[in-house]
Amino acid sequence: MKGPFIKNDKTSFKLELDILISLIPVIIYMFVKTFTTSISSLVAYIGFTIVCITLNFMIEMILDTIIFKEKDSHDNIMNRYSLLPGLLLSLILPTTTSIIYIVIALISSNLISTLLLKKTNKKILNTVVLSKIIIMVLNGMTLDYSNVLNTYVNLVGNNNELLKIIISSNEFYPVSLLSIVGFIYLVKRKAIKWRIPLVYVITFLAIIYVIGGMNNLGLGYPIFEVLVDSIIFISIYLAANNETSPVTPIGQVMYGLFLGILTVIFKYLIPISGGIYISILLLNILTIYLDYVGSRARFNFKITFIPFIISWLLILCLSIGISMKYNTKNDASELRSIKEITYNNI
Amino acid sequence: MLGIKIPKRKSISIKEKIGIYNKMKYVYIPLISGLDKNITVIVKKGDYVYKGSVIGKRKGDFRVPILSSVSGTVIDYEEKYCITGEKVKCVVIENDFLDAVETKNAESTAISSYSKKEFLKIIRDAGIIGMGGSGFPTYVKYNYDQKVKTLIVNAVECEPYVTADYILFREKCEEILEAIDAILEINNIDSCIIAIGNNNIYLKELMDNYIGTYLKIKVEVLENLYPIGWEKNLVKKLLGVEYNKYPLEKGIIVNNVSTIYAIYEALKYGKPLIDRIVTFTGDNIKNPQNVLVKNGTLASEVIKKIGGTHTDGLFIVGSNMLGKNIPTKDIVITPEVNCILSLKEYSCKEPKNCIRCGKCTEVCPSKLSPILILESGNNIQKVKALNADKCIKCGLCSYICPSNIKLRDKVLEAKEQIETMVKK
Repeated sequence: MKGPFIKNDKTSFKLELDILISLIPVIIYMFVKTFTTSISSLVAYIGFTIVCITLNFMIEMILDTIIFKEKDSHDNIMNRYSLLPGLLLSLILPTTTSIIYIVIALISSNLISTLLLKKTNKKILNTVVLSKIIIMVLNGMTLDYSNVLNTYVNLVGNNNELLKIIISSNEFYPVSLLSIVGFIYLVKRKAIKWRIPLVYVITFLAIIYVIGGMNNLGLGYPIFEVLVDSIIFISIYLAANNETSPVTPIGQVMYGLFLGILTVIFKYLIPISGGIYISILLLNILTIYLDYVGSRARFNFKITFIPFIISWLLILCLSIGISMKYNTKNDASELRSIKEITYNNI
Repeated sequence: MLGIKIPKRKSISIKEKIGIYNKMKYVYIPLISGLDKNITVIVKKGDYVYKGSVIGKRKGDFRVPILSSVSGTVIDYEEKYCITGEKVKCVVIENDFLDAVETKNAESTAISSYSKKEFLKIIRDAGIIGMGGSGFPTYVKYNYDQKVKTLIVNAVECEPYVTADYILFREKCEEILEAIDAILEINNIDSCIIAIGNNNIYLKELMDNYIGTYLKIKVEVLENLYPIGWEKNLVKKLLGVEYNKYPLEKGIIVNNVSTIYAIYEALKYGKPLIDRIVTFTGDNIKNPQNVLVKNGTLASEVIKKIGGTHTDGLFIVGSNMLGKNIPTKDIVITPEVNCILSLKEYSCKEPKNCIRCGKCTEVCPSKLSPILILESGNNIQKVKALNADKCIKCGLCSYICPSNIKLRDKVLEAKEQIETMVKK
């Protein structure tokens, strides 16, 4: 027998358990929120969650054991298959999603993922993200070129009522805040690739801060965008998924950086619904390359110069380009003067 | 990353005072120096040898003598397991318990009065080698032309279970400081840093009683991480310096504290390196403790004396992180052996599929990506590009892996492949 003759007690099962524990506040919030609507909504929501978990679990198992003959008598089922993808899927899908669509999406995503796994020995694509995209395609993806900055301007109107607006207008900000709590727990438990969500959100924040700044929207705009959107939740639980993200620290930083850039592109330049999920999927494909660079960069940091220069240039160009494309200065001042006139009239 | 916290289990072996074992009827002196088995044997069956007599010499560049640890008669040659984890040819000497020496050296009153040339000759002839596990000849480290600014004395002892250096320092603090002072003086070295772990804070308090006398020596307390005592980690942490192959490139010498004490004994009493303190520990040992053992003694004999068993469970030479499991449950003690660990059991869990958590990459002190090396399989170009040859065998990757994958073994396989390719 070869050493070491000591083992850390952190197993893959415990790591998954940590992720599940970190999700508890979000799950409780979702249940409470649904319960405040009606009891039947809560029952429907719980039912939806169970269906998603069970379907994913079964489809994964069936594909492995029947189609790919991956059955291993020594491995028990709970060790091989996770409850997590189904649970995450239930959290990012509306409860009104057709079950047929979910089945189609799960079969397709698991099939693609397992085929790639067989071919490359690596799980390349995040099945939850892929399922979400497939469901969005089935529902019909749309491009929305309306001025995305005006949504914020119309809501806030440069009157510094950011907090009030966030609280009154959107239902997702508590999930964002609870996700941050979950993130802190996961970092403390060393159960997450923390660089990914951190760099991702910071990159996203930095770009839209410049965009907001150049349009006189101040700090409120990036905070608003990050809190009211699901970006924090997605960055922690989907983007930083262990199996489909880089293993090297530098790879993880680059992954977060490019993810932030792609998310901004999909938000402002190709404003397709679910652009954030497409960003993750595209970066999943790049994971092998990022690890290639990341592993070598640990000995020779110079080789990261090109990817980093590209990313900084992209950040710069995007920030300036998008600011010029969506110029809301006039809209905002117009809006402010209308409000002032109305107020004076009252 | 300089290391992580792991369970150290050191307290069990520091309760007892240093024991002495010198009742062995036979000693088995392995014909190996470091990893080099290219030894010229200069004794034959029937020869009488004194304590400290040269019985073999290493060939090549690093000429370190192999010495007899007892006086007696050479009776045979036998193969025994040694620290490398493999069987090595040994000279068997029957101990006459007279401790006879060929020439008795007078005790030196001022050990710092030796010239550099004399110093080098003394430590070479005394067979002093790195006692932290490397077995690298110490005189080679001091045989330089350039200016050396700093001597680092490694008393961190970051490996679990091992307390040999701690005990030695606790008992011989004054002598060790005297030796360091002499080394600085003789070799014209500017200063010395003694590195200890924060789990051994008692040593700092102990040294504070003497350190005022030695202006060039200072003590640094390091976080109790594994493997912070690894030479490269230590130099980086203490001086913020990185080097390629040897610390001497940057004007730094690193010595283990046991080596420093061996130098002291050589300078002061002319005593060659024929014994060392070894930690005998683990749940199979009744009274885990540190024992002064002569080179060539069988570990089983010492265990029998101090109480416990070595035949059941796992018999490890070294710590549970770096150590090797010896299937025959016995080993010959050499200057590189700092610990004998006898554990009741250790069950190795079944490896599962990698979940790509990246923990192995995160903790590796050599900045390797073990999982990527594993995935590269036998592709020699890929593993070379991933610098698998820089592995220091610390075992943190295997320790941390939540899927129980034996990553260290895979990285070492890759390292061997690269080394074979380079040799070709």
